[in-house]
Amino acid sequence: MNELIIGTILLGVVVTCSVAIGLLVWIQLRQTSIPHPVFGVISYFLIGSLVLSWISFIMRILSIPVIWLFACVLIAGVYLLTFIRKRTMKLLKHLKPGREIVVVGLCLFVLYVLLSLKTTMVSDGLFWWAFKAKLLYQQQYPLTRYFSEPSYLWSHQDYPMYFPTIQYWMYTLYGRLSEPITFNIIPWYLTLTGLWIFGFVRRYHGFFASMVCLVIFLFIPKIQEISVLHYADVIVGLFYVVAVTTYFLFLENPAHKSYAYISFLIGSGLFWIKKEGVILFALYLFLSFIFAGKGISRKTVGLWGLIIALPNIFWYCFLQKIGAKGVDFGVIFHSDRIWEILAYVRRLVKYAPYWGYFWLLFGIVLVVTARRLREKPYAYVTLAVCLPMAVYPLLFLFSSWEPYTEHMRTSLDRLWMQMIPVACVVLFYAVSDASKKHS
Amino acid sequence: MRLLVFTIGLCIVIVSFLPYSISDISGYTSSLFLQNEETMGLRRKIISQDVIDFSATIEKNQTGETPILFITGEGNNGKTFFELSYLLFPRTIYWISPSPKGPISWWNEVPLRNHDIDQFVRRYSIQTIVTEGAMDETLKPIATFSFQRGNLYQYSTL
Repeated sequence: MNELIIGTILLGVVVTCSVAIGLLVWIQLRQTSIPHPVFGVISYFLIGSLVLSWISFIMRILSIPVIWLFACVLIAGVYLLTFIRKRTMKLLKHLKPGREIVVVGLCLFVLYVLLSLKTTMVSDGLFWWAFKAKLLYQQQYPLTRYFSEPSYLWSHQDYPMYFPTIQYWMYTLYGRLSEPITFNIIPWYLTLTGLWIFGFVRRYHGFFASMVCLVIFLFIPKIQEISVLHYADVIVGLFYVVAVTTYFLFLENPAHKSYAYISFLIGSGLFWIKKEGVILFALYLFLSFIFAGKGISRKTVGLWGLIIALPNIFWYCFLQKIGAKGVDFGVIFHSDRIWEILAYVRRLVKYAPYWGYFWLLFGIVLVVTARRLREKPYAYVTLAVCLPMAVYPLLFLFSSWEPYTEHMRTSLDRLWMQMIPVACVVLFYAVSDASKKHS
Repeated sequence: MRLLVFTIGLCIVIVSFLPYSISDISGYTSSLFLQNEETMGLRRKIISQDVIDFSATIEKNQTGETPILFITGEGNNGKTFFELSYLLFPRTIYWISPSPKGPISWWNEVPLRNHDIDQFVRRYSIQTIVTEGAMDETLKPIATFSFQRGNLYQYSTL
């Protein structure tokens, strides 16, 4: 329990700093139109945490203690409160939470506490993520040496650093290395995902239906599993649902360009959380480009795409230059695996204990509401779920594992889970009357 | 019509999931209320206390951050290697095994002959060797640990 309290306080500091940075970035982009209060705070947190993560990673390469970063954030906070006070106040004025959000927030807080207490670590959590956090924390160890050392291949050197940097901040603030204080990170992201789903569905349904959607999402066994075993898929799920739904909101109301910009900024984080996120990032950019038109031209989307892909390019150039190697996927295409992959996908959809029927239900709803696919926003979110779901199984045609079925068995259902939050909101949006929006 | 289909689908999903969910939730609540904080803390650790103690002994017996050699026979699963690598970081651990190496095998394929091991030890200036089984009857380990997955022995090359 002590670890949870300490972890919550430390995470609170990290979140506050991230929100401050996110707000600062947002103001610098000269955007004043903010979405729903819940949407606003979560967006600022995600944007800010991405910025902090990148800065702290670069600082670590340069061997600068990350504690300086928090000092800088404090200065940024003072800057926010003094130099641009009026604008900040104007933004903060909109952040009055409603009664419903407070109720849902309290429910989710209980869930956060329970999940944090239940959280344990599997190999992915400890040997891939916490190991990198330990590496970042050991200031005397040169980071470049780790990436170029072949004896660390086992730790998946090419895995991105978003999740480890959050653990690294918590260790830094705590003053020593302690894994249990970071057990609340994934439950925290799940809580935010729940809040986001509720907030989004509430636009189109009443309070009760929105709660039903939230409960369905939280009850999915695989979601429960990945939330307590220290997998990073929950984080990808949150970034993806926020990026996709904010772009959806923009498509619904092209006058609100700020939604599209939020979406781009948050979408840029997808590849920085999980290696497979680069596929999701590419598909997200592709869809955003295809559906652009009103409000934002394709040229603008292309330009933003280039800008937000820059960190991605930097990361891969860095890995390339330093000689880090990826081990999970190769360049050899194994076409003979296709039938086995399809058979596995069929088994996965039919697998009741993991709620595989959820995807069947999703398919049925899509067929029944096929006529609505003519609506641009609806077509966009639907494709945002279907496209990655179709592409992910094909990844295993390139798997280096032997047998590759083991690779597929341990990761495909987790990869699909990244789409569950979006799928939940699509399900509830599909059966809503889009013309009746709740404020 | 749309709402009806949706409701039926939802019922199917919920019914298919109920047995799993109830067993999980009951396990969940019992784990929360029936266990005290100490056992909870241990349960939340992926690394067994034995390996933590063993790595502490290695750290105590070893000077500086020189690399460590980890030797296993055939049919290994690597868990001990991951655990020791995590616990003993920033010391690099080199893993050798006579098993054939695959694309995602983390060991170096080396036949377990004295000459080959000796070469490896010299190349990386290794001071400590950890093995899953006893090495040679003439060599005496400086530490031995028995745990669920078997025995671990620590040897010094000095």
